[in-house]
Amino acid sequence: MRTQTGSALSVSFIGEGGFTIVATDAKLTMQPERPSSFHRRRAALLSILVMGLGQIYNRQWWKGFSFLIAEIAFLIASFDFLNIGLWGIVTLGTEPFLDHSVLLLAQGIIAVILIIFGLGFYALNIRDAYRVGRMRDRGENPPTLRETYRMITDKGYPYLLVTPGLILLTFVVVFPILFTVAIAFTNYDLYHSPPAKLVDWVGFSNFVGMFQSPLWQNSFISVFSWTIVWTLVATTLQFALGLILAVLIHQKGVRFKKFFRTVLILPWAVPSFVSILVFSGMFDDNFGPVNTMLQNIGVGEIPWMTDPMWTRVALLLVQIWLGFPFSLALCAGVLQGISSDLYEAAEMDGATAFQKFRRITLPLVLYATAPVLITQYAFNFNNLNVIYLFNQGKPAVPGQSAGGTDILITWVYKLTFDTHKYNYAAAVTLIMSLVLMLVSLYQFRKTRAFQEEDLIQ
Amino acid sequence: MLKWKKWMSLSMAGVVAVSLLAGCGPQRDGGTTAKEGGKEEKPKQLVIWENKDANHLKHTRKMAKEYEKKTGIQVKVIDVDILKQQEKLTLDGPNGKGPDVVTWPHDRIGEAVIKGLIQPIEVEEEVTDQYNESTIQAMQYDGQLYGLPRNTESIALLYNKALMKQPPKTFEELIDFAKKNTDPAKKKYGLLFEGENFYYDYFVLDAFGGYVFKELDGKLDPADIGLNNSGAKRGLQMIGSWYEDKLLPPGLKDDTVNGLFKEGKVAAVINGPWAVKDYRDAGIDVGVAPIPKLNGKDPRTFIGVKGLYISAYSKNKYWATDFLQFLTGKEALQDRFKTTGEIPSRKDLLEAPIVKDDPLVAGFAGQAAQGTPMPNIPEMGQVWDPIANAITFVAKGKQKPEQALDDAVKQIEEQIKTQKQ
Amino acid sequence: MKKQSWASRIGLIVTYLILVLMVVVTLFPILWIIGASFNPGTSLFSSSMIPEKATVKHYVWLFTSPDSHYFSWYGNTLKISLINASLSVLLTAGTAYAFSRYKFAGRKHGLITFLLLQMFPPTMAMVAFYVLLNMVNLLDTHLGLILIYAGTQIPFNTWLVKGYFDTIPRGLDEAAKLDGAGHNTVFFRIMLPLAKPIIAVVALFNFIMPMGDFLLPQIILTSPENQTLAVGLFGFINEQFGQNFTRFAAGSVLIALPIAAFFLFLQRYFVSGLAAGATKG
Repeated sequence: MRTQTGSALSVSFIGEGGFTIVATDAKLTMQPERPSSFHRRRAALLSILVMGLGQIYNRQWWKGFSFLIAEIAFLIASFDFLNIGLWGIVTLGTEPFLDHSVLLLAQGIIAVILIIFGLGFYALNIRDAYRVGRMRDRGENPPTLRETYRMITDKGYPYLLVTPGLILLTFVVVFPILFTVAIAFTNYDLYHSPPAKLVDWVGFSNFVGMFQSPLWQNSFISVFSWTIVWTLVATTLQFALGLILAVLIHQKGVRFKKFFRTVLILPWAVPSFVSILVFSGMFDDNFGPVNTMLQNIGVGEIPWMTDPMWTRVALLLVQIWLGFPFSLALCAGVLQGISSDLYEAAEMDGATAFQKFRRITLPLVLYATAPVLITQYAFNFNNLNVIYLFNQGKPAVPGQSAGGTDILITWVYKLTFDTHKYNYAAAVTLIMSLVLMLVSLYQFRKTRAFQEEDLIQ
Repeated sequence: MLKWKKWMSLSMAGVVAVSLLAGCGPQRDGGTTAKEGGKEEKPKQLVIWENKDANHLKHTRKMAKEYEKKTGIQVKVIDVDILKQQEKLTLDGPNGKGPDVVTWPHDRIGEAVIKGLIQPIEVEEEVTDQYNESTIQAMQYDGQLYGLPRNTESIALLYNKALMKQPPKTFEELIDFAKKNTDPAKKKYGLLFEGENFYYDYFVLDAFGGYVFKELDGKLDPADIGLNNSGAKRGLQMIGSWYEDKLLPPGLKDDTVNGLFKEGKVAAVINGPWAVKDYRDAGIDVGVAPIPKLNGKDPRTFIGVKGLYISAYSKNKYWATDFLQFLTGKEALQDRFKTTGEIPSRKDLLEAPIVKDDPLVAGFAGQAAQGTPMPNIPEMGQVWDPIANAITFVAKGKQKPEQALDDAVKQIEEQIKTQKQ
Repeated sequence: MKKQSWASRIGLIVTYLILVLMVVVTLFPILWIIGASFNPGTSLFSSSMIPEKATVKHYVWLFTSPDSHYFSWYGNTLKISLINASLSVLLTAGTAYAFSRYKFAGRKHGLITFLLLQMFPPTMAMVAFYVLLNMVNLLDTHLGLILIYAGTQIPFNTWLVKGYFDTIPRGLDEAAKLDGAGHNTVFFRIMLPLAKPIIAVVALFNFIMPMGDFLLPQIILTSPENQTLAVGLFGFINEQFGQNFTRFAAGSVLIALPIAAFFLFLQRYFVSGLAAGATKG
């Protein structure tokens, strides 16, 4: 049986062969002892042949015809698009100027996504035909239109909730990532730019060539270590400050709670690029208000913009200013939720305020905010905006291509976009993201967020 | 259950793989589509991207109406930031949303040509003769003409007449003047400019024999960089001495130069024509003069030429070229000069009283005439930052000019190598 | 007993000192930019927090100059921000609710995937977005822009909202279901109102988002009359020559106004939500 259908795989439309196996296979494993498998088999087969046919066979007219129409409409509407897209993603075009490789690549990826969606729907159609067929085999009536509707809105409710977001997510988040990944395997740069030239697939050669470039060698260590320091310090401090302020406001006996909370969350309400640019002006070495003020109180001028160390300090301060309000809001919410019984019990045992914070507040807050906190670390690791808008990664440091405050991502962008090596930009992004994902995943597993998940249902 | 899922996903992957191979591509008629083919039809409309600047737009919209009156072709003017046009054309062009005519500073021509974004234009020699030679030179890449020049831009010496009666004859005098009139404690300066920006410093390196790329038969050789030859080093040494003598504060920004000048605390600045209006609004009596002789020669500053180019996606090359000539004609550029104050690229206008007798403009025009176009090959993109950094290191006394420039050129060479990798 | 209250009083004073200090630090840049916006001239350098010759000319210019599109930008941005906030809240709340309360295929891996998706900066995203919107004919439309904003925020905010839903006792919705309430009733009538505080947070996030993005609209919106505030604002300060810092400051103050209004409006929900939390404790 399997070899037969297996050979069908290579001959005709692959999906059909595949699903024949599926259907038979399911039969074998699921209900081997039941003899009458007449309807389910036939319905599934018909549905494999043409979408909706199995449903029509099952006398679910409405469902069947709408499936049928959906398939026809999909094929008619998108045939050209899919055709060009698939051809494009394989060849990346054949004639310069007429074919725009980059656009073809993008179209190709969208085509693949559409096909996968289509196939997913197709699979559902087959499964549905099979299931209804099975009901008939058991002598039950196929569900009526109303029953089907009920099924969808009841059993299918979570899917209804998730689907719109998921579709949007696929095109708006996943597709750009796939596109970036794809670029990492092409030779897309200044000298291979459409429309003048075609772009080609080059396999892994970017990953090899990239490391051979002399540019990276002189600054990698210093940039990497600053990136780590930046990520850890900025994120930890912005979170710690938010938490401390939340605890302070939350204390019994503190008045004007609402006022403090409102004002301290305010930085959040200013678009961050505005704040960063304003800070960039305020920290100006010669004439910025920060230095003017420091001079007035007798500290003297600090080279905020021209000394790497001080620029780093300024950047950390700016990022903390930008980031603490969110942590404050988050922690304030969590604190409200902590039962006061816990604290009362601790007070009975004579715990000091610090002990209460250390033993009760901190663990509970960390527990509740761990996923968000990890995301924030990752966010700062890639925090291009603040580094770039504040001082473009400057000040320059003798003997290295990276500026004194460049983190990995700003440095990579600078080098690759200045030299128009889009392929390298994509390749480095790919490597960096993979590492970041692995680290985050590891951290994530360590936190208990996922164990708690299993408590649900 | 597990198996059925596995089979399902396997076969799905199979379908995707097969359909990837099955895509059979566009049906093409074969044969070249008639891209040439004699005189093209007169289009109904031409589209031009003009810089996002109120005055630029005002002028171009007015000219668009006149062109329509003259030829019956409607011109649509869309505002797109002059530095964003190239990036936008790479996306809008292939999707048929691009314009016929674009504009950007000439130093980005090389990149555009390599990417195939603009097409060469064909005009008679008598047309090109109308423009200042250096501006036509700026419009050429690899020996071919890619656009028509509209305006030139150069920095010059701007001085506060209340603090400086007469511009000095030589740069040495200017420095002496600065030494006498600078007192950083009181925020008083004799001469200020954005010294850590290579654009403003090029003329100093050039005066002693430095150059960016060697020019051979009208082509620039990116393999021959003259920014760490002895001349360039002497030039940078001189710049360094200005910082050492505290004439220029390190880390100086454009905004600060302007702010101080407007407060009347600076006698002279080196800046471009874009700054003048702001200075006058602040109530400063501004004079403009070419930069005084340095090392016995007229300083050759970098000049920028704003040109008009025809998109490679334009189907109306003939009429677009016609429109280009109209926009760079005498009447049009005269109107533009009146509206925007930009120095025209045409010889006849440069000699006309309206330009020549305007004391503010004449200074810039004189400087522009002796300037040299910024290199327009894409390798230039790798030069700016490393050299600017080298100047910064010298300004802060972190490195000697020799070391700084050798390092910078090495980095430039590495970056160019990576670019071509 | 007395000693303790003495210690706690010192603690309280220190608390107030820290809080007041933080209020000053928080407000200083904001007040500074408000001050700058009333300065004559254009440069950041000569601006002072309390200008000697205060002027409203930058505000007047923004709204009355024929060269300024500020008015239509303002309208566009408000429209985009409001629609984006509503759409995002709906999408996110739905997704998060499903993840919090239902079992369905791909649930567990879905959440981790959401987390990981955020770690990947899509370097070439601009081109990708352009192609995508061009394909569905949404280039140069606000809808296209909104769809991208609403989509990109899903992973992060789903986590936030899901976390909040998790803290709401399951007994509440289960009881309602036993009383015969349908899925929709439970979701819209019971869970959403309970999640007001976090919904308010997500709404605020997404209201601000379009106001701070100066990159994407430049690529997607071609017509100048369709542009958004952030792009225009960034232009004031990013022009290669002739930065106009004071005009930028004035524009920023104006951009902050609707956000502050929205913020104060939502503050009501923050507080009611927090109060609910307090009684629960």
